[in-house]
This record gives sequence, C-alpha cells and structure tokens, in this order.
Amino acid sequence: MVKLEYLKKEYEKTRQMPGKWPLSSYRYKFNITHFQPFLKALKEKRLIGLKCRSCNTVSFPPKLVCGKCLVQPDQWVALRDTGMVATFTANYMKDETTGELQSFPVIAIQQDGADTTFLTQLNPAVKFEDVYVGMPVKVKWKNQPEGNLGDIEYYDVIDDATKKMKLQNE
Amino acid sequence: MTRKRIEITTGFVQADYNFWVGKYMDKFYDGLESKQVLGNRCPTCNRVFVPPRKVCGNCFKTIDLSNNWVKLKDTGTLRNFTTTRIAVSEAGKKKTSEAIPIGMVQFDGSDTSVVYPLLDVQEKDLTIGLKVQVVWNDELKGHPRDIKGFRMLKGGER
Amino acid sequence: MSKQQAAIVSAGFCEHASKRSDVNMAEMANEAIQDCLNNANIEMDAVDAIVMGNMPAFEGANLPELWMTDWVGARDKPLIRVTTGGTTGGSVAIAGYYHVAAGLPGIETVLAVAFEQQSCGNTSVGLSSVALGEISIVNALGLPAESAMRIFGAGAAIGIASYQAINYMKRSGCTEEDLARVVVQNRRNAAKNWWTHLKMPDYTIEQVMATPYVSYPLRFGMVTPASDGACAVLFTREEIAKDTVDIPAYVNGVSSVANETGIVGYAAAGAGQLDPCEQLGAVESAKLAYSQAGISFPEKEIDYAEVYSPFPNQELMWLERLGLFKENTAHLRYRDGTTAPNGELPVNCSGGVNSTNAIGASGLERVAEAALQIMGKAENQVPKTVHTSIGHGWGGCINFVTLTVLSDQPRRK
Repeated sequence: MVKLEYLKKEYEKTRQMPGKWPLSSYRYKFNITHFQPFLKALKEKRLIGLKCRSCNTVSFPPKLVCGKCLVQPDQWVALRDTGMVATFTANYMKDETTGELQSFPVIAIQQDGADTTFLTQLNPAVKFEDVYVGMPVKVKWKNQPEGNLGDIEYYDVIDDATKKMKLQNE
Repeated sequence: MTRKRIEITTGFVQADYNFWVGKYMDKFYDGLESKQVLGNRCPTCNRVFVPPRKVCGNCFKTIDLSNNWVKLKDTGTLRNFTTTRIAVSEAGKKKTSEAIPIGMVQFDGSDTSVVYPLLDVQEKDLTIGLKVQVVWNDELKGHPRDIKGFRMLKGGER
Repeated sequence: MSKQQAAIVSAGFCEHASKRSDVNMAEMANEAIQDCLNNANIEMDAVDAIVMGNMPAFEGANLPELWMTDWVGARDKPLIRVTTGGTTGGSVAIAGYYHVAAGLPGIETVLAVAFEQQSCGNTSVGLSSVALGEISIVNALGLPAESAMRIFGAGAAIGIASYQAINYMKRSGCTEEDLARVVVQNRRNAAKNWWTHLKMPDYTIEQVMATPYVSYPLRFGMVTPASDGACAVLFTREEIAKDTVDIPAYVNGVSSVANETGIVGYAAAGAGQLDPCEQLGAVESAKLAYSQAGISFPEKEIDYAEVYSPFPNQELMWLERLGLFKENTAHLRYRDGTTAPNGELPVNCSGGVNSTNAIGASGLERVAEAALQIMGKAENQVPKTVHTSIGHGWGGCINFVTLTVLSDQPRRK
C-alpha cells in the first residue's frame, strides 16, 4: 500500500477496550407482493417493468412505491431485453489462489423503456477499459431460469449502431 | 391483497470495535492492576469521581490530569441492588440457572457509584446501606473485570 | 414567541488525526467545545441548549447523547442528537439554527457539536452497513452471494464517487490532472490550519498522478482520509451576537433536501437517480436557501464557499450544481486560480473533506469555516472581505444535501 507523507503529530496511546456488533443477528423483512409477477416473467425469459400511472415513470426492477408520486404503481409494461450502461466502476477482489488483485467492472444498467438503474455485471470476458457510459448491452439468460434474480446471468455487449453514424460536420 | 413477506438472516458480517479509553481511564486501570482504586476530585466543587473523569459535569471545568488524584479504600456502601438471570459477557448474553445479584456501590470517599456483581450473598439478605468490600480477580490486567465483585463485610451492618 | 435572526459567534475544533489514541470520544468532543467557548469568551452557563450529532456505526458506541451529557455540558439543559448520514454535521448546524430562530423563551444561545472517532471502528464496515440489508435481500431473491458481494461491495464511498466521476468527466471534458489539481489545492490549504488531518504543504500534481488507481478514475492520492475529530459551533440571537463579536456570521438561509437514492435501491428495486452526478438535491436546496437569503445571482453574490467533497470530482460537481460556476466549467476555474485563497471565489480554504474527514463532524466544519471567514477569524483567512459564504453538506445514499447561507448582514426583512 502506498503511504502518503504528511505533517503528522503522534498522540499518546491509551488502552483500548474491545466491543462488537453482531450484524448477523438482524432479520430483514420486506414486502415482495410487487415482485411476484416480475420473478414469474424472468422464469419465462421476459422482462417487465412497473409503471406509475400518475407520472408514467417505469421502474425496473419494480419498486413498491413510486419515488416521485408516493403512490403504488400497478401497471406492468413489457420491456425489450436491451439496455445501456448508465454508469460503471471497478471492484477489486483478491484472487483466492494467486493473491493478486483483479478488477471486475460493476455496471449500473438502464433497461430500454425503464427510468431507473440497477447494479449488475457484464460478461466476464469484457475488459474494463472497453466499458463506457452509453454502451448498449443485452441480457444473457441463464440456461434454465428458476424465477429469481439469478436468471439474468450477466449482460452481453452488443453492436453500437451510433458508432457507425456520421456527424453532419465530419 | 395479501402481503407475503420474506424473513431472512444474514450470516456473514460482524463488526469489531476497539475504544480508546483516554488518559484518565488509563491511569484508573493502571491503579486497578496494583489493587488501588483511584478517583479524581473537582477543584471547584470538591466532588470525587470514581472512575475518574476529565470534566466535572456540575461545574463544566476540566480536572487537570497531573493532580487532583485521590486514592480510595477498597470499601464502600451498597446504594441499590437487584438480581438478574442474564449473564452479559464479551461473548454475548445467556440465561443463567440461578439469579445473580448485582448492585450499585459507592466507594467510601467518592460521590459516584459503580455497578458490579454482589458475591456470596442471597437476595433476601440484601438491604441498602450494607458495607461492602472489593474482591479482586486472581489475574489483574488493567481491565474493569479486575474487580470481580463486592462481598458483604461481616459485622458491618447499617 | 417570534422568529429570531440567528447568528454564529464562535467555532471550535479539536486536533484531528487518523488516531486520537489519547482521548475517548467524550473527551474529544469536550476539547472542541472548550475551544469554541474560549474563542467567544463565553462560559457554559450562558448556553441554553445543546445539539449534537455523529454516526454510530463507525465507532460502535450507540446513543452517545444518553451518556455524554456531562462532557458536552448538558447538565440541566435540553439536549437532542441528530444524525443524517454524511450530512449529519450540516443537519446539526441547521438544528442549532432552528433552536435559536424559533424564538422559544429561554433558548437564546445554542451549542452545536458534531464528532466522530473513526479509529475505534472499521470505516468500511460502517459504510457498507448501509448496503448490508440490500445484499441479504438480493441474495434471498436468488442472486448468488458471491455476485451480490462483488456488485454491492464495489468500494462503498469511493465507488459512489467514481460513478459520479465517470459521468462528470464525460459531461465536462475535465481530465485526471484537473482532479489532481483540486486535491493539491485542498491539501496545501489544509497545511495552513492547525486542526486538519492531511497537512501537505508541498503536494504536487505529479505526486498524485504517480499513485495507483483505487477505483477508476480516482487514485490513492485523491482519496479522503478517515479522521478522528470534533467541531463545535455557537449559535445565538442577533442582539447577543452583536455584543459578543465584531462581525457575527448571520445565518440567512438553510435548507436540506433529500432525493431518491442513487445506485443502491431498496428491496432489490432499482435506483431512482439515473445520473448520480445530476444531484437535483443540490439544485433544489440551493434554490431554497438562496431565496431565503435574498440571493439572486449566486455567481456574483457569494464570496466564499465550503463544499462537501471527499473526492475532487465532487468539488467540481457541487460548485456547478450550487450555481457558483456555469455547467462544465468548474475545472477551468481551478486552472485559472479563481478558487485559490487569493482568487475571486475561494473554495475550501480549510482543506475541505478531502483533507480531513471525521464523518459526523465534516458537515458542521464546512459551516464553521464559512462562518469564520466572515468573522475574519479563520486561520487561512482569505485576503478579500467575505460578505456572504455558504457551507454545504452531502451524504446518505447519494441523496441528502444540506446548505447554509451566511452573511455579515442580517437577512432583509
């Protein structure tokens, strides 16, 4: 680890008393009534988003309450399986066997037709340097979907049609 | 519409903490290691605090670290008591088969009290005002548990 | 009971460091309070109420307002604790302001104190405790645990900043050198203050660029530290303020705005913010606070700014969202010296959050420094006269923003 040099002052070290917070003792409860149709559609390799009738924003994955109107959205809309990268970064994990740091791109996807983003991952073969905001991607389904979030195995990169478009002053 | 919920537990994270005790408590624990109970006195209102502290809450004056120390005897008076069936330790808490009496003890010469187990005594024999004495732990580490608890002083009634 | 004009008359700090191993949390907060009261020549008897704040997950000591009363001077006084994520300090300042502005009988002078002793705990556990519920929920809904940890564990605070950096760099065309320039200016400013953490008077852009990436595009040399520290600010009514100091810092506008979460949603839903560097919360709170303070042209009317930017790209982003510079031009203002201490609109002469970050205290320190510049008592005092300044805070799930507008004149009635 790189150390930064700065003007440091040393302080007397007094004793320390230990304590702990067992985060494992919490039980999280949450409501999934709005999730059931979404999970059912995943099993059939379909993507559906939940639309708020009041402001027409579509959330994918579905939200229980519309963030803008505070009403419960209840209209399901079909979505295409393509989307784009809204933002991305890299997560660094230490390889268990070699001990070396590997970087995995983590991306936030906005599904075409939806107005929210969610975190997911790309095809492991995609290099981090090639990822950019606006990159079009497509769902890669698991071979045998079971009706849960793991059915979207990852996202594949697809051809970017905009790259071939010529600007007027070119 | 019936609401279905999922209830789950997380099994993977525990956060560990280490609290710096500060210079006043450091000196207090040094004292415990040599079986000496230390307190400090506010020079303005003369209150004696055990364990010692940097600020007198009454006067909001800082009590200077280098003096104002008071060496206290290891005896005190029982100010309050109760019993509990739950033993709390660093490993967590668990229910015990017998009720453990615990009490608030004011060291002779101090104006505060500490809470510790009351040893070798039945709840029915406890009354406020009993004279008690420190029972030291066999191993002294500079830790609150160096004081194992308090025992009743024989012939020391109200 | 009538609305009162509130003003800041004093600010105090304790020495910030990566490990204040010589004090416990109560003693540390007390140091800042003693400094604040000494600077104004006021005794604790004159204080009518106390507001305090910190984030419990970082030092694992819960409900400190219950047991820290003697150390913060709350014996026989009303006490309240406020905590709102990264904006805790900002909310403490706003709570202190409201106590005075409300005009309750007997509540005229209020002490606000915010602190954090991060060395007692583990900062990344504290930050990821936000995402912990989400990780468990998506795991229960079928995402394998390893993927869940990998996706949500992407760097906590720095992960969020890198998402914002990527989007900001695309929008504005700023380069990595621009980000390094912001950091160098902040750390050199920090070296001129006694209470800051990373004092680096000779830091250079080359040194920053030589450090490795932590989370693209942010490098190790740009990362905010985790500090132990406390800050205390004294609020009072206009009449008392005029008797206490020559130039009080009148609090003319306050706002705190929450938005939908960004990046992380709730119960496996997506996040409402599409572009994490859009920060509508900042735009909204700026509108509210500026209209309260009677400011119509922030670019011209604000003389000094303290913005909450643990990472350099955020500093550029906030200056634009808060209306101080035009869209996509903030990085140019660092190149031409506008934001330097002797520039037209100096920014973060205290070194900012990039040099000192005791999370609970950081929001309050921005307000404190903004006030000290107006009062003429800051250690790194800027040469120009500061008439109006702002202290800004940010936090939560990328969605909380607080803003305080201060001036050397009371608000026009």
